[in-house]
Amino acid sequence: MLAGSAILFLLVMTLFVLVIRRPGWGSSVSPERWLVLGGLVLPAVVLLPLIAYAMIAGERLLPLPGQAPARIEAIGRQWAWTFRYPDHGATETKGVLHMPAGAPVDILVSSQDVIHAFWIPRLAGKIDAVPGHVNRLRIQADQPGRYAGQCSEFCGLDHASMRFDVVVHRPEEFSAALARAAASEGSQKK
Amino acid sequence: MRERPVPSRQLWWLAAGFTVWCSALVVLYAIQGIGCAFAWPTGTLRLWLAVALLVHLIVLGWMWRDIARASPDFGSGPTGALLHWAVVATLITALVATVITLGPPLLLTACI
Amino acid sequence: MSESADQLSQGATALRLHRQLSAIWATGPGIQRLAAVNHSVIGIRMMVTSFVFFAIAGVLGMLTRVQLATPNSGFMVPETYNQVFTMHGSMMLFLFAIPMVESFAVYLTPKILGTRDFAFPRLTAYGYWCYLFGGTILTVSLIVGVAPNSGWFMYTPLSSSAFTPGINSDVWLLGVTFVEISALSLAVEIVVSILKMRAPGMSLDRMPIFAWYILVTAMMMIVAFPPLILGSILLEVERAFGLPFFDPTRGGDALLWQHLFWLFGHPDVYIIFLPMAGVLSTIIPVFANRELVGYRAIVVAIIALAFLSFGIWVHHMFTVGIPHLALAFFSLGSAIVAVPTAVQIFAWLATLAHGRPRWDVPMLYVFGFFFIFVMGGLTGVMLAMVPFDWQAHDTYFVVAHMHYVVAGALAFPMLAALYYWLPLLTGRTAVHRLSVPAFWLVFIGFNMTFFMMHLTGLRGMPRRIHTYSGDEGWNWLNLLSSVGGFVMTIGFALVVIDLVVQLRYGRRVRRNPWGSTTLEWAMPIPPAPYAFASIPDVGTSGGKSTASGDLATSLASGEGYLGSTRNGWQEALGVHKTSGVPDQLIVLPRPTYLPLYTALATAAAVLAMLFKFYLLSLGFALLTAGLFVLAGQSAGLSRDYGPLPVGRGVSVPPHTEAADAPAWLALICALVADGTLFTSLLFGTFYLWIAAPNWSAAIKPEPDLMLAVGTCVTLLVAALAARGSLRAVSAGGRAGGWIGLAGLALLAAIATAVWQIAGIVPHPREHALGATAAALTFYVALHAGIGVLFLISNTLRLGAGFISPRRVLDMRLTRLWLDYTLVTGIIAMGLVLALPALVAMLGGRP
Ligand code: HEM
Ligand SMILES: [Cu+2]
Ligand SMILES: [Cu+2]
Repeated sequence: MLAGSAILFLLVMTLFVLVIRRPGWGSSVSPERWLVLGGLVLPAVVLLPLIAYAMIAGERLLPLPGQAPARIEAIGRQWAWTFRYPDHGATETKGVLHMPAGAPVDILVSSQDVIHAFWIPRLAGKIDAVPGHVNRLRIQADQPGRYAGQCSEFCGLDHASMRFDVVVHRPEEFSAALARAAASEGSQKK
Repeated sequence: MRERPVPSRQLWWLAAGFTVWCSALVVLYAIQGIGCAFAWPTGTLRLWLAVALLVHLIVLGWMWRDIARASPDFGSGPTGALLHWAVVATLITALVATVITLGPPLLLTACI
Repeated sequence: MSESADQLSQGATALRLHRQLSAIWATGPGIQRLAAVNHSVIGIRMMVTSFVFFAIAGVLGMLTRVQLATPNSGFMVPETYNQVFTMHGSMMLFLFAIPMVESFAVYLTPKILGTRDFAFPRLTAYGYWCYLFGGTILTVSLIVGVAPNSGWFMYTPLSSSAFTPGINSDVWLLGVTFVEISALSLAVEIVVSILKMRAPGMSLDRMPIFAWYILVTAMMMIVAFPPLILGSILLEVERAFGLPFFDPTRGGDALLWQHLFWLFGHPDVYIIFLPMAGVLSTIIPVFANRELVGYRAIVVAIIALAFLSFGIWVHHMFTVGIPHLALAFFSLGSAIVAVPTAVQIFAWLATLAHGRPRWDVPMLYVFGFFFIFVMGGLTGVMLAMVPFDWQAHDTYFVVAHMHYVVAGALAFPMLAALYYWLPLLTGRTAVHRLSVPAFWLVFIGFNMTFFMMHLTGLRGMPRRIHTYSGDEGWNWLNLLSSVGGFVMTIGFALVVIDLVVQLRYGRRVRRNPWGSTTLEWAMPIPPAPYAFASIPDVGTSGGKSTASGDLATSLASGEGYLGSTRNGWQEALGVHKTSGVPDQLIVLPRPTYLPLYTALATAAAVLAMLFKFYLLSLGFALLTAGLFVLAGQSAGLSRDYGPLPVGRGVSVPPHTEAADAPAWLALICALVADGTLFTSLLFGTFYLWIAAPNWSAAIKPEPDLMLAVGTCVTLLVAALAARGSLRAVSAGGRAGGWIGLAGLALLAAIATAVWQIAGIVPHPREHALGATAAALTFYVALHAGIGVLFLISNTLRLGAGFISPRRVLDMRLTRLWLDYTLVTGIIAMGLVLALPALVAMLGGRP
């Protein structure tokens, strides 16, 4: 898409320079043809395939119910994230999202106060955390490791520092790692 | 200035085609919203959407045919010619816009 | 020999006519300048004011760039930063972009149409004062540190009282609404003037393309502003009185605000772009030495653009959780808006290709426009693709896209326009040595600043963060971006210097330096307050053309229409909408302080509201209404004249006796705006019904059927009585009884509505259901109240002799208003009565 845009941009700018620099250069093409070729044909050729591609790609990213993957709740509030793991009892972590690698995970995003947005740039697109609603985002991390997450809807004073970490575990280690993390957080609080 | 002036109300026709497009968009979006809120079966929802789209297309097609034939109403001079051409062109564009913007989405997942 | 004698006598006539007209049209000196209503004067004031706000907002933009130049910067604390970027965006769009394009429209449109002024000069003045006062309120809030701080789109609930308890949000809601009232009144005026006040013979097919653009833009404004005005009112009511339209805990919904905001916000981009495209479509043919390619295609393209731009607002909301099917409607719509835009781009290219292009400073900016706008348009298409937007939304990629489109497509054509039209204002042309380097600084600085933002955005930098930690890999891009900002600022400073220098030392030009063919150049430079000493006939200019300058000479010596004065009237011609055949003589009002006083009263109402003196605010609002009625008292003529000669053997009646007077069309436009606001309110109700959390069948609203029917019946009686009074006046009889009946009926309608509101269950403060029912009912009461004002005005004007069997316009306006009130009243009350059934349906929801 970036390359395509660059080509179109160059095309229009070249035409502009040519019609200015070489008067009469484009006059062999009739005015009507200029309009039809540039105004209708060119956009149609570019846009129709692009649209089709984008619709299919969008469809692939949807959290369709069929697969019923693991669920994690992400709850935003000014200015921190809490994660709950309904598949693992009442486990809860703050500021760090733990998830298994290699399988899709549905994040159920909600908010307790204003609108935030849940975004892990390297894993998926973003989805807003809107008070009173629960939005679902399907993500999948293929490699274990640490990723950065960030609130990306302006939410007041500390919007910039409303970040979180994502720790992706090997699938077989996930449950244990999550329990450990939750426990250590609990003990810190006491 | 020999020609009979084009009646002012013909100006409204410039907006007619795309008003139907707007109506189609609003109606389809509303049906989608209501259908999802009340958890209609996907098939029913799609059917309703398709019917609403079709009705709007028929209205547009009918307007196009009607206007294209009824040209004398626009007067004979250059003003009438311009308006007639522009009205027909907006009707066709609106028709194409309706098909392109509201047709393909009906194939997509409806409530997620 | 005889030719030069001819010229001499022509010159003498021209001078005499100039003296007579100036005496009538000129704005007085000194303090009387505040009474100005002339479009040239007000156009220039608006332009200058908008540039002042541009400068302020530009400084704010630079402050954000200073803050972001380096990681972990301590230049501003977060609270300051939030106010600064919020105000930068808000001021750029509401106080610079929209008013700036309006100022061009105000200054140029009447001249390009070949007429002397707008149809409602006092409204122009009122619009200007509202803009100035609203903008001042916002600026002052910035100085005292309580500026809005929730971003220029003010998303709820961040901007609601729970999370912004101070007056910051109120400043935005009230200030911006105030400015929007001004924009709306100007829009109505522009539509009416373009359709009704052109040079005779200027049929729609002969109308300069610029006027088509402005006409379409003004119509867009009439429909685009009401949703935001409604949203602002609802949010302000929520903040001030606790009616929870947007509060999810009490049956409101945060997303309703987003819909209302973007329903305005997206068309707004095109409201800014279309006039600038109009500028380009005017300038490019002049420099290509050929007429514009594809006039008809462009007319269709801008109509399509205007409509399509309303159907794509949801592309700002791709990430709020709307189902894919619905997103696709808006994604596809956003993609195909590119088509009418492409048609225009290629029409311009074809014009150049088929012409003999000439190069001058304005063309340099046209080049800048092409470069930047095409890039912005392409990133726009990318963002329209849902999966890409899920990544790029709310990152710096969007900031880059937006500046390429809004700032680029606005600033560059605007400067092209300034270089092109300043000779008209000042009689001098630019000094090239400065103009060219200034352009390159702006151009290079602009690209350096904003191109980098594409990259930071793609690398994951969210927008609206006041700082970053420095290990993300954005450092040098941000630094470059900030340096670019300074280069651009220096460029803008040079442009300003260049323009000031031009004012003082530019080479003097006589008429029409560019060889244009539009009528604004067929007048002396700089333009006189009456614009045209006599009005051209576009159909039969007898071979005289603007380009050669002889049209200007002939008009100056009074050879066109209205080439003499009478009764000290400010006269202009009204024409048939499509054909341009003269059909009335429009007598315009003279300079007056009334617009200033009215705007001051409005400002007082706004300020009282801001400081929570609600009763006081109500008082000032009533005062404002009273001043409007008062303004109506001196409008029109107090006796019948019959057809009056307007020159060249044509006689037409004055507008007071004409069938198709401007005020009629103006009221229709105003009702379209009002109807859009009402439709938005209906939309809001239905939206909350299906989307808001906390709406359930457990809520049992109990609207009072008898009261609702009572409201409708009394409104019907009022509408019928208005018909009676119109018939009575037309027949030369007395209308007092009918007017009294209508008044009583309206008061009864108000009473029933108020009674209804008092009994609403659930209480409007407890649940959005009650709040919307109250809003709908209040809407009806308010319109009945305004109906009473119409009746008062009728009575006063009947008494003063402004209404006669031949001058019944007032009565027709009242009838139209009461009909509108009746129709919306029935719909509103019907919806209120349907609410119990609607919530009961929610029980069937899974
Ligand atoms: C023609 C001129 C311009 C217009 C119409 C304009 C408009 C806007 C708007 C609407 C925003 C959105 C603010 C938000 O995110 O809520 C914005 C953001 C921004 N503008 Fe401008 N702007 C213009 C010129 C400039 C200039 C000259 C600079 C800097 C030198 C600048 C720098 C920025 C920056 C850095 C942001 C991002 C603020 C943030 O989200 O943190 N803008 N601008
Ligand atoms: Cu945030
Ligand atoms: Cu947009």
